[in-house]
Amino acid sequence: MRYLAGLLLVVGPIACTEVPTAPGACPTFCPNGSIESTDTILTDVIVRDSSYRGYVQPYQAEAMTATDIPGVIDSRAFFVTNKMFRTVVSGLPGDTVQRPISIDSVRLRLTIMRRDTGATNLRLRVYSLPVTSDSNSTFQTLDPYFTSAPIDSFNISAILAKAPITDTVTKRMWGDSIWTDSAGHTITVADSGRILHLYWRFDTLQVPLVDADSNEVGMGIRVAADSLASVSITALGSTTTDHPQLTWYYQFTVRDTASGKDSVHIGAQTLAPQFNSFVFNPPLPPLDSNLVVGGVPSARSLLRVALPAYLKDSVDIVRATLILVPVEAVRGAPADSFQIRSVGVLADVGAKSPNTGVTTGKVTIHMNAPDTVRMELTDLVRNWVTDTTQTRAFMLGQVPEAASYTQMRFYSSRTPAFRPGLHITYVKRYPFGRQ
Amino acid sequence: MTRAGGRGMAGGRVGAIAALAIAFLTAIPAVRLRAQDSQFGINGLGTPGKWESVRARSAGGAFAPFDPFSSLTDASLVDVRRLTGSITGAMSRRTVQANGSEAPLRGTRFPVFVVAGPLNRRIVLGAGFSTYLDRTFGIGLHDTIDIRGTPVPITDQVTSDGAVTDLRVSLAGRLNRWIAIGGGFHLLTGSTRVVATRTFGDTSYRTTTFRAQVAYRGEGASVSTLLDLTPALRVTGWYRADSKLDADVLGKMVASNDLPNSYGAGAQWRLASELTLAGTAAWRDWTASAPNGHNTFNWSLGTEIGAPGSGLRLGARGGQMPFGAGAAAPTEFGLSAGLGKQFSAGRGRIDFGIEHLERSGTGLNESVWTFLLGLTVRP
Repeated sequence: MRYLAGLLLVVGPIACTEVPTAPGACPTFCPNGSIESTDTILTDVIVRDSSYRGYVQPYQAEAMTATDIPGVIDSRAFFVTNKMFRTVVSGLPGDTVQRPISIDSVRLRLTIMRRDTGATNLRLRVYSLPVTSDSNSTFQTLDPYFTSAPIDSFNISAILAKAPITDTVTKRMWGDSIWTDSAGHTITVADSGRILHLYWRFDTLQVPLVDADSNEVGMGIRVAADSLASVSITALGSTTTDHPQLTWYYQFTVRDTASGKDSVHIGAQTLAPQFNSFVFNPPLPPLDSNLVVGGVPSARSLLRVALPAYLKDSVDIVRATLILVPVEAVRGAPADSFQIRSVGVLADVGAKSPNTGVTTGKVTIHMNAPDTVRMELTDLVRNWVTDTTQTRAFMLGQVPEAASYTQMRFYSSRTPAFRPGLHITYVKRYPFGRQ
Repeated sequence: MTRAGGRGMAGGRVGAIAALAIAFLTAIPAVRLRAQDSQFGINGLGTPGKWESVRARSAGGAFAPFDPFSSLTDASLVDVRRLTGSITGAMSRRTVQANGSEAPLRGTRFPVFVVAGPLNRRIVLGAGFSTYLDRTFGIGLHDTIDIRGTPVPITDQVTSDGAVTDLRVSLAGRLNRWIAIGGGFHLLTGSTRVVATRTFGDTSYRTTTFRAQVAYRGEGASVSTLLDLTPALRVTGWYRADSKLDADVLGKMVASNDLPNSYGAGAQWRLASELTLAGTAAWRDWTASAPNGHNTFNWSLGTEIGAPGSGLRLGARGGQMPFGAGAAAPTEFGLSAGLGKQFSAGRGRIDFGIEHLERSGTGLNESVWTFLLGLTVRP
């Protein structure tokens, strides 16, 4: 019996292992049924497609675009800072006296989150704008201020061409190497040089603190370059803290009642904008029968899909691609390319349809390229087939929204020759049980 | 003291055997285990099971019509004089040669289970299951297809796990000293879990998987007779008719295929007290079952040397496989050998066997080594 038990122990593992699959010698020694893929372009499944504008305003955007492509687009950014105080409490023990401050200098920080690294002689110019600038301001109303003499000009290309300052004292102060010039312009970089932090130093003549302006400051930004003049400046809508900052350096005097001597104290106050936005010219065309995505305020397009019955019942969709034909190419600086994303909607109630928040497809739109746009929607369409309770509609939106003058216009279902289509690749249901 | 010790040893042996039997039987999760059967059955109804106990199969199947624990005939149950159960296990290693390539495969199967006991002195009732058609296979296919104007590599895999099982209830009775007859009702049931998967080389395309459980149903009836012409010579004959095999998916019939009638005959000759020879021949008509079906003739010759049930078994078998390409049916030839060991005063028996089969057909060759293990218990 010991031998038998041993034998069972030996053969036991064999019984538990297997190699079940062999190369198929088809069709002779394969099942009669086979897996078949089919490819088709559905040209009439996108129905009742519409565009709506007004989802994100330019002052809510994560960036402000400054662009100057002559004959194409001129986009200018501007902001108004929060109020600066004029008196301060010294903070000395027992001292509650409000003492007037005297402004020494001002530092402005802007963050360029996107720029064309091929641009040469790239410059940013800062202009003084009225503090009343707001969402009602237009390119035309602000144009006189943007065409007056700038406060200062910052030649980014020239400064970056200089050797960085990398000594330990500088690094301790700035946190990293810096590029600077003798005019008080400084650059630090982040994200391997893709993001630039620009620092201006102004005196009180350049940026005065004016009581009549409620101690607020309005500033405008224009960009210039030999070519490819376009930058995106981080705005209040960004999830980072890289929005514009104005730091006021001041001093105030405290008289020692015992000695009768004055002591000078210094301080600094950093203020964020209370409002930022951008204006551009020429303005965007109004919504029409086409599908519009992007622009300012941002436009989105709602596309409803009427899937044929056979796609719901007996096939498995392995790839679904949305085909959109542009009305025209988006004109602008090459660096202003952007993404369009699709998001499924939870309920179709038109413009205010709540969406899933999950990006189901995205595609990059390049400037000046009129090519047909193809966006993969495989997961979305597969979900529709699997879960028939889902709303078969999706929203196309720009990423980021309202941060640029750019918008894409596609032909809608109202233009039969160029209407949106759905390129579907599916596998027919396997014929189980058939010999 | 000695007798007590002897009983103790016997009791320990019985306990060990019982433990092994329990381990063996409880290790069987179901009638089917995932396994690989012949590639010849994929493009057809499946691979017919061998309705043979380890003892019979070790002798090439020649003793199957005379062996009550093989489910080939019903009349052979008449030899069961006490309630007895028997189960067969088979572990196979198979090499498939097709398209110039070779693939090794392994599988495990429990093809036959029989329990039988006498109702009275002349009538024996038996029941059990056996594999009627094995539908377990897995194939992989690599190809490149043109999608959206671009060649895309694909890998298709179709796996089927399951079998059509023959549930049998039989009665056998001895009419007189030299003739016994038997009959049985067969319920064909079972299912296969089929998974078909296509994977694309381009990850833009999602992997697609279809799953279904295909349920099978059919009926059959069998009759057989056993003639003891002399104390040393037995002959037998049997006939079995099966209905259509219906295949259902989610309650909807997707296929209905004719099943064959089968008949055969065999002879067993006890040359000496410890030498027995046997031979069988069987026919089945599969031509109506599938477009690539063939009528089959199978033969077997075998011997058992030693005490009946405990000796050395040797055998050879040959014949045809029912499904295959071309005008001629694929052929099968095999050699087998085995040993049996009785224990606990004949209340239990373990049988071991090994079988080698060579299958050959148009475009495909198979070489199969199967290790057989059987356990027969008479409580």
